[in-house]
Amino acid sequence: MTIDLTALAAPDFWIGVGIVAGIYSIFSLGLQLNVGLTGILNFGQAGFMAVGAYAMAILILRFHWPAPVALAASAAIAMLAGVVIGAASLRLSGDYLAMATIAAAQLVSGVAQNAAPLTGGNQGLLGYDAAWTTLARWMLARLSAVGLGDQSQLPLFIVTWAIFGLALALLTGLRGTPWGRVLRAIREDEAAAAALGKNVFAYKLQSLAIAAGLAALAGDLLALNITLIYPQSFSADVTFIGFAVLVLGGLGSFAGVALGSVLLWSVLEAASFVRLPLAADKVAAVQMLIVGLVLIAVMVWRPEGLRGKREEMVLRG
Amino acid sequence: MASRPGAPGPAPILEVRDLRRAFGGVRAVDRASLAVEQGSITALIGPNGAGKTTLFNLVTGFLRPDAGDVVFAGRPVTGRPAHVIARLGMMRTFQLTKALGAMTVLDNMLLAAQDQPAEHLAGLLAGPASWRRREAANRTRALGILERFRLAAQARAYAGTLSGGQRKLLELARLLMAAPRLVLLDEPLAGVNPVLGREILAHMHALRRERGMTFLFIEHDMEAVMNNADVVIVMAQGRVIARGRPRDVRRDAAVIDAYLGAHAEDTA
Repeated sequence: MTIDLTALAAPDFWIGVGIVAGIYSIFSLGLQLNVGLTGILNFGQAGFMAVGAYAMAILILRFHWPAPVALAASAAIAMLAGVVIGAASLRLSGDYLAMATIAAAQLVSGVAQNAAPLTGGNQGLLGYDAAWTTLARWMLARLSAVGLGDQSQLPLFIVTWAIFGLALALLTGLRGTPWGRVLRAIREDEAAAAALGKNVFAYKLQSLAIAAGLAALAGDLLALNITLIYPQSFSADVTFIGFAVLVLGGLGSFAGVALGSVLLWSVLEAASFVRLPLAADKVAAVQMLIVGLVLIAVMVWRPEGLRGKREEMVLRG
Repeated sequence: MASRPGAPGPAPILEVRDLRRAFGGVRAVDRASLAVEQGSITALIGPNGAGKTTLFNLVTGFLRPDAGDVVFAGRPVTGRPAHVIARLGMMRTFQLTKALGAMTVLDNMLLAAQDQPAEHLAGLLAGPASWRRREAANRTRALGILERFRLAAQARAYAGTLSGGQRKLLELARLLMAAPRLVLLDEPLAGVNPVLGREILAHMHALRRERGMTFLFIEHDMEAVMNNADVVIVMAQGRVIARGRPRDVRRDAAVIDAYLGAHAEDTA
């Protein structure tokens, strides 16, 4: 076994990691709103991500919508999907809701695989990023003025983290309002919230719709990053990585999501530099093993996660 | 008078007629009828399994009745969702206290305020200045109420750090913040030491006197029931079997039967 660390010193490696970490941060902000703030076990977040990415790609490729409009519309469509799926499932509790959301994500994946005229089936879609390429080139020209012109991935990095920053500011602001207080009460005890006159179902629906919108934006950015989307791009693994990010960052903390995501993806990507005399699929398994060890280490060292509140974790029982 | 089940008194704030709810083959509430007079302190008693808590759940919208009617303040509310009934002014507590542990005592209180439009996303659009003003006013009112319930010192503490008795007080304080017209208390004295129990009862009388609140409470402590209730309603096997003044109910043959088993008077 050898370790080649030269690539770790290369800026483009870290920019690449940063983009993926940023995409998962946006994705997990939505999960945090659901799981950490409202108490909804949303296991279908990858489904909303797929809805967003496919909506954007289809609107651009099949309906020739301008890219910025398609981007905004993709978030709106995913939010609508959140309302529809939520209306059907949010009256279920705990585990049943989790199963229903997994099923909803499977449904999205099934449609993506089979509605080939629209989605390209298992071949997927590509060529939706022409407008983005133009914008990225324009940004790179500006960046070259400060000597960063040769970092071709930098524009997406900047856009991703700018969107994360906006979403973080919005959610942090919302949490501090009376609206956010009702969500926390629902997380604590639905019956108590209802007994005080709060429409629990309506709040859960709003929480899920906002999370779906964030998943869609993450999906749009992922689509721009990988330039080809196909059903497996949004597999259930994506949701589970999102949950790992939540646990690492700390349940209930929006800023923790970014820390958790950066840590997880740094470890995951850096682990690929560990050269093992093994087949590629086994190397991938070893990568996940290392991530698992990091997760365990964090749980031992800080059970509440990097930015979670231990008091709240204990008091919630 | 004591043996007339569910006889309506003057100006009932709550009327329940022929309410029914079965769980599988168990008829938990079986054609129960009762009325609670405006401004009264009414006790709901009965042996374990009589259907008292199920009746509370049906009346407050936490369970849907199979049949029957619930009328609150002249308005039919049968089968309406719990939050709608609460907003109309009928609120309840639970047998196990539901203080929201990972929220502060003050947040528990602010949550109960019924006049904060910024609890809705649309209400937030009016801008932070307007809801912060309302919030500040509510905070002042909340601190005043906490003072009264001797919880002001814990206002910033997590509710989960309070003792069991303090949590019961917080639940009452929270109700006062919400200012309902009718309060349904499910065993307010269970697991509470006698001193605190007297305090809770005193709060109940004071709130009735000052605010005209009506109370319906489930309780097993017979001394507390006999000394504090104006009217006692007795349930057994899902039905209301007696209603009357405490001293009349105590002598009612059907009530004695329900508590001690049939034909108790033969052996007595």
